[in-house]
Amino acid sequence: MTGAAPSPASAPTGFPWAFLAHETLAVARSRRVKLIVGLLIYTLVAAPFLLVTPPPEVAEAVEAFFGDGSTFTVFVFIWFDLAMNKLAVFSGAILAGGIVTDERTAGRLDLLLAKPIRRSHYFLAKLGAALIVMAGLYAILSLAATVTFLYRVEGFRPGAFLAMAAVHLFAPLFAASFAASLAVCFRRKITAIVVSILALSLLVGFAFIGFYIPSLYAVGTINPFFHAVSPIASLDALGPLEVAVPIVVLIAWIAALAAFGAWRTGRIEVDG
Amino acid sequence: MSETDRPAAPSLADYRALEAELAARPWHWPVVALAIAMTAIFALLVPLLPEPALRMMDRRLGLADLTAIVLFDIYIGVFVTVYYLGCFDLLRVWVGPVEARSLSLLLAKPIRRVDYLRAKLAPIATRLALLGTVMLAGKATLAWLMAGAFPVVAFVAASAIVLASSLAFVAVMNLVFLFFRESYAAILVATAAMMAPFIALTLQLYRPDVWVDREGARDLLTFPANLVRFPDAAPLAAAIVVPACGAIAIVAVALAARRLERIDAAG
Amino acid sequence: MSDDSGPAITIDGLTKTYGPVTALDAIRFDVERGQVFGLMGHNGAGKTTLIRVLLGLVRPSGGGARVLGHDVVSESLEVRRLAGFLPAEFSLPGEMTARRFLRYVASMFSLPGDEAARRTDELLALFDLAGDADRHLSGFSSGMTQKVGLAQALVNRPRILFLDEPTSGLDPLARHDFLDHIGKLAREDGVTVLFSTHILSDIEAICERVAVLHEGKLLARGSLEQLKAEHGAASMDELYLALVRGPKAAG
Repeated sequence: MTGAAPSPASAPTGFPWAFLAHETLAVARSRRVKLIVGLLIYTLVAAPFLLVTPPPEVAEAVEAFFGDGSTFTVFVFIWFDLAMNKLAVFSGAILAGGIVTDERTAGRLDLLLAKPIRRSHYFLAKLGAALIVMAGLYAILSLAATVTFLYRVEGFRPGAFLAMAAVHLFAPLFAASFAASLAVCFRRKITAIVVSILALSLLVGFAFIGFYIPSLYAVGTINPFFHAVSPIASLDALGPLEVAVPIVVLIAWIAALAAFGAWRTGRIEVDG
Repeated sequence: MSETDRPAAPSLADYRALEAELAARPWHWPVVALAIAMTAIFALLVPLLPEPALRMMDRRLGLADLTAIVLFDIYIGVFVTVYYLGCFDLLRVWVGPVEARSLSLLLAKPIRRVDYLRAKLAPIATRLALLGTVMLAGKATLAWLMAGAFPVVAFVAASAIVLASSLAFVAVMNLVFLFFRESYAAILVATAAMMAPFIALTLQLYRPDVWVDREGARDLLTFPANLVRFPDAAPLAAAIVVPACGAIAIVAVALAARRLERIDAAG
Repeated sequence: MSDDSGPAITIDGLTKTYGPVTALDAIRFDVERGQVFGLMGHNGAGKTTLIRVLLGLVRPSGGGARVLGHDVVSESLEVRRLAGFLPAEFSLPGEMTARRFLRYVASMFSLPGDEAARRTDELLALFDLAGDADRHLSGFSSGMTQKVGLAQALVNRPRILFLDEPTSGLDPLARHDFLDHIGKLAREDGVTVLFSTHILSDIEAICERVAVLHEGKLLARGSLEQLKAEHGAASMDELYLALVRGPKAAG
């Protein structure tokens, strides 16, 4: 039967794990990740210098916001507000803000979507790769920060810091999911990234509003970034609930955005 | 083929006009509108902040009342918004065409690279100046109505400094972008660079001990809080800073032209 | 100074290196005016780099070249004023219409507005794009995109045309029309065409003389008949194999 045509490979129906793995490696090796790593290292080196002796006025303000003006709480507030929230916005938008629009710009969207992968799976694999890389970077940064700050920041409490970082890990993942879902709604990638960064910056800008102005606390909880920083109000008594609830809320946001992005990708028509 | 034998008309006016038309971006005016609206939201929220937060802004940054805080927010908001709008616009100059593989097609036309650069940059600068001015005017009107009166001459001078420094910063980033071939990398570098003008301000907020015995430098560098703290000095500062920013922008564009002339246009 | 009597292209020991990689290695040949001259070689042979150097897009590392009498380094602006160029890979700004894009290109040649409009209409009609002139380029098929690509290369009525792999994405009918049009430009308007391709049948269909590049080196140049005779090749395939792999491979 040498003349018989080989039977075609059966069309895959499951999730394209191999594609996800390749994509993850591709993202991890990309130049933008190297630049993000540079930014993270800079943050890690600069933060202890900047935050080592906060002036009393800052401590008083932090006490008014969170009921605790200890050096550690001030440090955590500044670290997550000044550094990590901003990094979440930009690294999220840069890592995931070009899903589909990148391929469209490069003229290879038809080539990729012609492969036997469901479009929704294509989107989810691309987003998944960005999230994996983002989580990896963030986890490494948080561990490195813990080790560094332990020696450089007075009164540093590694357990509480890591618990806070574990929750905040979902902030950049939310940012990436948001940027990815928005990207598939726009034809041009720069427009998509501009809108993503703008919207995410607004959300980050209002992340602490519920703490700054208690009368706006309820409104503030609509903002996913609020949940990412919410454990700061209970650093002294962080229990499983204070950590788990915001994580669940953020995972729900990420899942909803991923589902929307996958649905939207399924409706894209390739026209050039 | 007689038509090609005669020299082409020397003017690139049509080309410049077309580039000026193409410089309009769909997000420009919505972003400006949002930025103006943010001043109203800010002016409403600041009085609701707890007393220690207001005291911190007073003692650390010299922002003594609502008007001062709102003015500070205006300067910082306009600077950052013009800068980012400019950086995204700059992607059309080099990085975008490289990514879209249209650069060699464009640069194969009989146009000097310096003319290409000028034709792209001039409308960007003009639009940014217009957007910045509208933003400043809109924000100032809301600030006046919601936060109270402020010295107009000082505000105009401070606004000129904010706008000029932001535009000069964009011109410098244009030079930096010529070393990149990917828009993501350019945006990230622009974000990292954005920290530079506010290092002094951040130190004043969190590490004021750094400025002990260096008060002169602190007052000079803590942009833009210094524009609010020293309104009387703003006109003189504008007379020095605005031309200096112009010079920086000119040098940056000249260096960019030089760099562009030397780059191999493979893309 | 421009010279109207000499060769259209004179390449004299042209070398281009990228770090340790030699993309062009002391290339030397001439192209006569009004010819369709084929530049043969497989991917990576150096064809695109050579065209980019001739257009002043890339600086040579050594040697020199003149196009229509103009030095490609010191007078590249003049070269580009007289030349048309269709890159191998390009994209068009999707947010522009075909008409607007051609006007945009015309503006880079400083064509006056009325002349630019007239030329744009001529080219749209010539390439059968008049009906699609006001559609956004993002919706154009690859064949239509290639037509707009060629149209933009002709906006200035060039005296020399650089075409880099121009037929790669065309269907047989579009390819036939395209080659026919290029032939007419050379025959009727005296346009010199440097036609880079790895499609040997295109070379055979349109080119009078060829140069063969391989790994940055010039392997041969001359008329097709002369080269076939010299290498004992009956067809273009045999000729190419003989040049690139040696006579045994062709035999």
